Amino acid sequence: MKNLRLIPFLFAFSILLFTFGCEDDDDPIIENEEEVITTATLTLFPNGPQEMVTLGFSDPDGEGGNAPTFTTTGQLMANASYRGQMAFGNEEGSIVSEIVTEGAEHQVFYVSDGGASLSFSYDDADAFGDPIGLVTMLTTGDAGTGTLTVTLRHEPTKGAMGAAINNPAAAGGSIDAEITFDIELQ
Amino acid sequence: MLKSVVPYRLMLCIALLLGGGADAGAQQVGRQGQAGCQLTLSGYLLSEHDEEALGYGTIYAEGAGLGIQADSAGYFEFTGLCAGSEVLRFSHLGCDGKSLAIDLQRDTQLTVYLHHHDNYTETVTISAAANATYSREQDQQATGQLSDALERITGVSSLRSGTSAAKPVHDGLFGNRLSLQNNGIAQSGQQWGNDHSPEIDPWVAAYVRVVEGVEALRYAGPTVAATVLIEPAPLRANGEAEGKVGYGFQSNGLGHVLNARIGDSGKKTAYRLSATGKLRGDQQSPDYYLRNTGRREANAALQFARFHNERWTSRLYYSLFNAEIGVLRGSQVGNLTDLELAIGREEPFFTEEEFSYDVASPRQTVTHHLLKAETEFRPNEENRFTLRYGGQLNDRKEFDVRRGSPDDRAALSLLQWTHLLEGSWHRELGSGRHLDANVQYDFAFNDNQPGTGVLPLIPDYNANRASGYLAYHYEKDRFQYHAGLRYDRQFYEAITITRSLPRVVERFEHVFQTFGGSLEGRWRTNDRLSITGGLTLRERAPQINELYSNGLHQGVSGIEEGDRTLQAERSLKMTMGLQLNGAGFSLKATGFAQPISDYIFLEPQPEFRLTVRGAFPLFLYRAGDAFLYGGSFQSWWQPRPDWEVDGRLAIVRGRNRTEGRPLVYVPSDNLRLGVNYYPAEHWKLRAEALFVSRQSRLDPEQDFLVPPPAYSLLDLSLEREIPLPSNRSLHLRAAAQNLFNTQYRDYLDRQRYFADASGRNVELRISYEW
Repeated sequence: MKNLRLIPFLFAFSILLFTFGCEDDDDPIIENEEEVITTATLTLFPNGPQEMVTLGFSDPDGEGGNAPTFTTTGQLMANASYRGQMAFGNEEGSIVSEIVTEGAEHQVFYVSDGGASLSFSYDDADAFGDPIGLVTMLTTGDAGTGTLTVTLRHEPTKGAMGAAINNPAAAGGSIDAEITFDIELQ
Repeated sequence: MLKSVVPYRLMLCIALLLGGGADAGAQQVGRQGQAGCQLTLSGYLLSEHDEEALGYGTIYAEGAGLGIQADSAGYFEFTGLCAGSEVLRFSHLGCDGKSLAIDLQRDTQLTVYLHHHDNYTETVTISAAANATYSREQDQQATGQLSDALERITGVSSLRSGTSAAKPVHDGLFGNRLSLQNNGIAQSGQQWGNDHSPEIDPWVAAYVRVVEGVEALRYAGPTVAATVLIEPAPLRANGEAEGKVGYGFQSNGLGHVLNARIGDSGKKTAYRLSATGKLRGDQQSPDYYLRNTGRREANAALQFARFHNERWTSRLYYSLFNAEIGVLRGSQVGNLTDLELAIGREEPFFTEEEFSYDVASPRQTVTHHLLKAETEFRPNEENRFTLRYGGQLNDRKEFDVRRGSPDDRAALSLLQWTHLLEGSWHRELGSGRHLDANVQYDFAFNDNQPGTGVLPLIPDYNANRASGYLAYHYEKDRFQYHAGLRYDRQFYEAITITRSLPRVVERFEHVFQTFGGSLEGRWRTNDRLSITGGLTLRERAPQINELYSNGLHQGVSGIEEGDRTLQAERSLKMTMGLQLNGAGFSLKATGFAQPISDYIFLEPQPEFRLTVRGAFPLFLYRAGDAFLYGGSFQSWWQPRPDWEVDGRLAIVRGRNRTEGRPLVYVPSDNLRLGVNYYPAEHWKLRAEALFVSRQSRLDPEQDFLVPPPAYSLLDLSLEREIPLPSNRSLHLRAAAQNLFNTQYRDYLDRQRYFADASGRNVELRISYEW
């Protein structure tokens, strides 16, 4: 009859489980979403007499909640050249240095569409000499309106067949950020 | 008559009682000996589970070259047999033909207990779709996943994510609408996710079946009709030490599977210990490796029974499931643009030339504990009382490819405790009539584990549920009917975090009261034909994901938002069935129609949700009306004792009447045809063909990609059993799945957007049993 002792043991074990389970009624810990990108800013420094232009995106509450907001300062001019500086951040601050540190795993792409002709080229490199795309050179075309889509890709195949600054599709990887700005070239 | 127990152990026949069998000192008498050929061999075929008669089984006496069929009561009789050794082969629909050697000296009566649940479900409830695979076949599935075994049941398909996850679909319903009972306890865990498979080791499961109607009302869990039951073989007193060790190799993924099972039973106690280890690398489609689709598993289960006395039995069951599961690397995509890019590719992104055992992100790790303790008391012949406790702990972590985080930081980490207390009562009311009743109370705590850096998709919640069930069974020879009622009271407390800033914790409470009722009948017009019919009303309370999902569901690349005003679903299922049995054949046809009101579904929204990662499709949980109908056809034919042919056809249609569109994830029509050939004693050859048609009943805007074309697959297996002295045996099996290395994609497989399904797999398996 030794095994009979198992029964009370089992019930004791169950009660233990119950107690263990019941204790947990605290509020959940609100996650610190340090990886989520909530801001993106493209700053364009003119190489000529034009004014500085910034294209901004902000979505502080992340993927749900309120819709993101866009802000533009300055006027982008036609047939001019600029040096572009792309910045990503979140409520904790900038994550540019993180992207540079993991440069080989990241690449930023710039695709213009519609009537705004924007020609970007890379002006930075990772440890293997491949572009990261945070720093770029921009030459604008004739006046018009259109869009610019800036894409930050994680683990793309850099130098994949067909991949170019304006063709992120061929590079693969997953998207960390993809923001479409409205562009007006004067 | 002298009664002696002849120890004979094949899985099919657990016990054999020989009346007036071999005397120890009996002299061997030849076939044409003085006893002549005047002997009678008779007996009963009974179900091992509940000693119900197994009707219409066939028995073939090899020595005499005689084949007969048992009657509806399972009774069989051979007359004019010669004295001497005789080999009997018993077969029954859904069973392997199995042989049994006896030394026949005088008129003999046998009682043969078979592991057979087809008949059990047929007699205890009349659920038309109830069906079962059975333990021997189940053992062969031990190299695969549980879903592989479930798919063998007519009307069951699998909703898959490649090879990483699969969950059963029965009559067009799955996930939250088809609950799973693991050894009588509703399987808990994150069953809402289509990319989460049930955490059950097929090696432990001896029986896998689907029950509906009155029988399904008995069990907890959200369901609107059917319930999947997964049960280990029961422990019995006065058995012998037994065991089985098996090793299997799979060519696709270079997989190794090791299974072991040992058990012993005495007068007072019995136990069985099972363990499984699995290691598999990348799967291979006909043209390329499916990178990061490896899998590791380590499972164990312990069954223990104590037979205190004739009236009192206690049982303990503990199982542990542990898995690390790789998810196809090319299937983790970001936004809609990414998804479209991934879909259009010849071969998935990140495909590598080389095979690898590595499992990297995206991946899932799951640990599932289940403890069940029950004690059964039978004060007299009429009454049986059972008290049961079931506790489960489910720890699921999912790892995505992430930026700026170490690989071992989960993006989803959920811990769930569930506890169930149940009291049940079985009362015999005289011949063929009995009552079944139970009361249950369970509660669950679901907590997101901190540290993921991601706001959870499913909030923390606490839930409890109280229920009562009562059923009446009337089972007379020609006519049977069953009636059942069930009531559930479900309480939820959801603890959510707001999506707007500042983030605030909010608590919401819900109470749902749901009813279920079922009435089923079976009329056996004669020994050959029976007609069944059933009507089942069930309500299902909305589940927490339907009420409170909020955020990006990486598994489906969409943003999902719950609706906390949803009400319980109401379903009415009508079933009809016809079964025809004859000498060496059996036909079964069933049909069903099921309207569901307040049917909860994910409605794709016309506009996309803009995020920093671009646009994502937005899905909202909505309630509407749905209608499902379909039918299945099952046949079995034994033209000769050494040939068997079986076929299963399943057809399901579903319509969302609110949207005026077909339902998604309804399996396309499928047909399985199998042939068994027994070339010699202990040899078995089986060929099975699967035909799956294209799912053409979908609007183009309902999916990112049109459903894949029809396909057909051929599986082949050859088995040999080598009997060894003192009841030991060696079992060898070689099998090939997808023999022709067919390139295909299945509509119910989410991986079909990105890659072909896996190609040919050759499996070699050796097992030793004692």
